[in-house]
Amino acid sequence: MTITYDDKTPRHFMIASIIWGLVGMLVGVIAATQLSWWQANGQILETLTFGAIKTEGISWLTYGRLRPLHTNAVIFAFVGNMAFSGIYYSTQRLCKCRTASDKLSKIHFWGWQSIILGAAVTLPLGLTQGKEYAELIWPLDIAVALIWVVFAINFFWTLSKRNEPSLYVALWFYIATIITVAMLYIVNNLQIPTSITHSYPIFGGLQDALVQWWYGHNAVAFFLTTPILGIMYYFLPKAANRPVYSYRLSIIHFWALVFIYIWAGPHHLLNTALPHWLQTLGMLFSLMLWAPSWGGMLNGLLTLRGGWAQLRTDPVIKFFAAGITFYGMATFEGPLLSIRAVNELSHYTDWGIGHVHSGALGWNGLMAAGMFYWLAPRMWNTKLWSKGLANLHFWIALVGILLYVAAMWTAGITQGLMLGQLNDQGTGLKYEFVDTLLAIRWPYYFRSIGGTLYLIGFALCAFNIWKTAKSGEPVEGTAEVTPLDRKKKDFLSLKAVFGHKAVQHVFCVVIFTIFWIFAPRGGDYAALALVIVFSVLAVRAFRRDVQNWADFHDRLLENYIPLTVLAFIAVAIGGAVQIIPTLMVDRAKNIEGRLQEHYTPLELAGRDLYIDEGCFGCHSQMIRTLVPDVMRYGRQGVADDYSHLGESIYDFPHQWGSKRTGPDLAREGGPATEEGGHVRNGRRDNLWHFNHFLNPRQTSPGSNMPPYPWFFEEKTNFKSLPGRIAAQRRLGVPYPAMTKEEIEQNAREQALAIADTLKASAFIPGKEDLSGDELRNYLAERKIIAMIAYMQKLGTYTEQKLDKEKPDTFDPDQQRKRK
Amino acid sequence: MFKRILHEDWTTIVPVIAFGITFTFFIVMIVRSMRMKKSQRDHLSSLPLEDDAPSD
Repeated sequence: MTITYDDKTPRHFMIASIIWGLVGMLVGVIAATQLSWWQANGQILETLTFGAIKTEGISWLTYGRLRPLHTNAVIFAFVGNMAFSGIYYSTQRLCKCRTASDKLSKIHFWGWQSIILGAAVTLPLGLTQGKEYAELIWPLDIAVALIWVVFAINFFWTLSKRNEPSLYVALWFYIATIITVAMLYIVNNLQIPTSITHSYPIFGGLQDALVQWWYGHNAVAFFLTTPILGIMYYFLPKAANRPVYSYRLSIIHFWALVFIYIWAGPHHLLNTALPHWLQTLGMLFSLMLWAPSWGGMLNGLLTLRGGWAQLRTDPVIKFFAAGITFYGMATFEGPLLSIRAVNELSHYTDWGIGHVHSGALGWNGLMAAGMFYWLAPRMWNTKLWSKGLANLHFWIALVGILLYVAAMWTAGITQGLMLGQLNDQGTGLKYEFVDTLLAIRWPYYFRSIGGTLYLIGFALCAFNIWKTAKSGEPVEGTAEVTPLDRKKKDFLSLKAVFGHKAVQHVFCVVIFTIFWIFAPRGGDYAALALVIVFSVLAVRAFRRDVQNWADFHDRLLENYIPLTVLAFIAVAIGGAVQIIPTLMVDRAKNIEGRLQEHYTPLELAGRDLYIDEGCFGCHSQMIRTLVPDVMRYGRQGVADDYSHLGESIYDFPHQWGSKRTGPDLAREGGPATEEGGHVRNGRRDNLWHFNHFLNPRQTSPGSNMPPYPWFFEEKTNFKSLPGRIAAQRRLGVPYPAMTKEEIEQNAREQALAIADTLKASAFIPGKEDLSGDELRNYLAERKIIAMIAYMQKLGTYTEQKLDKEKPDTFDPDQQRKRK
Repeated sequence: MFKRILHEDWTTIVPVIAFGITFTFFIVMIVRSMRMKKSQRDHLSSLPLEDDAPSD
């Protein structure tokens, strides 16, 4: 029978990817430029409009708000739409059937674009969850989850209707993408809403950091890598007109990648307050990732064996070959940066930024362009409008990436080395933070140039595809297929696989091995005994049924449900082993030593403001367990003054950060200066902070931080505080019982007390007529005071001594202690 | 407790376990892929190359 494929959906996704790609990259160039010229945060409009607009800075144009817009647009809009395009196109062909439901495809497409539009509006408005790459507010999160389910149903339904018994490896990668992204997205976005646009995550401090980077790292793995690998395994053989180099290698590539990737998240938290065993796990699994990643890269490149001549003539092959090479380079660099010693230098610097861009621009961007150039002529039944233009795109993009990445390496390594350098006497640090920033301004300029070149190249791609589309007519592919007998596919029921004794015994072995590692003494021996017993039972069960199991994996290739379940188990184990013990033991009542002082209502308002403005994009709150970090950010005369685990336990979400474009703020606050505890004096006084937010260069010459004039105009939302504090109480923050009125009154009193310290010396441009109590009353209402309250509270804690035996269930340290 | 997690050498066992698990997993997958029949391998790897014709 003849079937017609639905090529409208992949076509639409492709167009969407190109449009959003242009937007995402443009915002990236703007954000990069803002780091070189603070005026680009809005003040430039004053120059451009010859003074018609008078402003020092515009809230929705600041770096802190644009950065999440850039990252979300590139990840979810550009690469997401590109991946969906490739998945819809190739799945139909590999299954030899049309997508199961056109209606679901349509809902998926329009739903996804609406979410992106929602993100493009809310993020610049400062509506964010404050978790990197998971900034979208909760209503959008729910929409993402629903649309993802629609996509999953449509995909698996198509698999069940397929007319080809075997599942090609690209489909495996798509399966892993769908199930893992669902798992990661849901767990990392568990939250308690306080209003339609605001919520607090249910995890705080270390727990939140661990869950966040389990998600963050695997968003790279399962959103930016596995779907694109599936696309590589389909489109590269197609473009090169030869089968993949080694199908065996592709199987090893798949299983090893999905099994190992999920464990590597803690490498984002090396040398922090994260327990050491987790850091070690994260580092090791990152190093082991090298093997499958390079296996995949070689499999891709060697597919071109004997066909390298096509590189000269076919731009598609050119883009694919370079894209796969960048996959190899980025997956070489990733494990390197995960070595704890290298990470000391690289973390919190631009090296990480260079790394992600060699992945996003090199791997994702070039693979996307290659796929678009291959698909467009087939989608519109014509020829590519201009090969020459595609070649020009290739070279501009390549130069752009190299310029970008080299600039970031230079900036990252220079800054990393300078930050750790001692003065000539060896008694202190040689450079102020701002000195290191000034030292890397040239690489920053080159970064902007590299990014602009890449954007220009991509604009050429958009133009070329548009002209190609105009030169042809949209078509739908057709194929002659033989309907497949249902018995020839999906004949393994879940019961047959998981009801088998051998499988059950293996499952018990895994569970009891975990118990053996984590259970307290006594329990661990019992668990070990059970591991041995079940191992013997499993071997016996296998031997009884040996022939049947010999080709189990081969049969798995024709049964998508057991394959999906096994892939899910492979990805779930890593997360479970790392996260569950941490959730069990990391509670305030178990903390020995420093325990964070929770925020007053006004300080909480300031903290929420800090999150809204995306300050965490540039400032960390984590003094690592490293000498240069402690020397720079720790307090004089205080021993072990790195950030301890208990110091951020009430931070929902955590604000450890991932990049220091400005200095760390973990010890910015200080002790109370008056009895009520309303006014504090930390590293710097209230007036310094006041002036710094008004004009950062007044207090820190050379700083690239944008000014925040709207802090001095907009009012603090006191009315929202009772709802927010109620949510914090539910999360376990020990707020005393307070009525709504008491909360508001407490916040207002503190605001007045802080404003009182400023009334004699503060000066607001444009409000020169305000002074004395009038100025105090004006300021107390404004956001600036909440922000100062938060700044002065950062890093304050009490010492907690535990007087009872600590709970030992699942505490990985307990048994060691007793021995 | 958390000080101990930071400072004690509990972690020395973690690398061994991690490597053991992953190595076993690698070996199993290599054995499985080596045992795959050639006919099936060839069939699977030729799947993307089966062409469809555009219609109008």
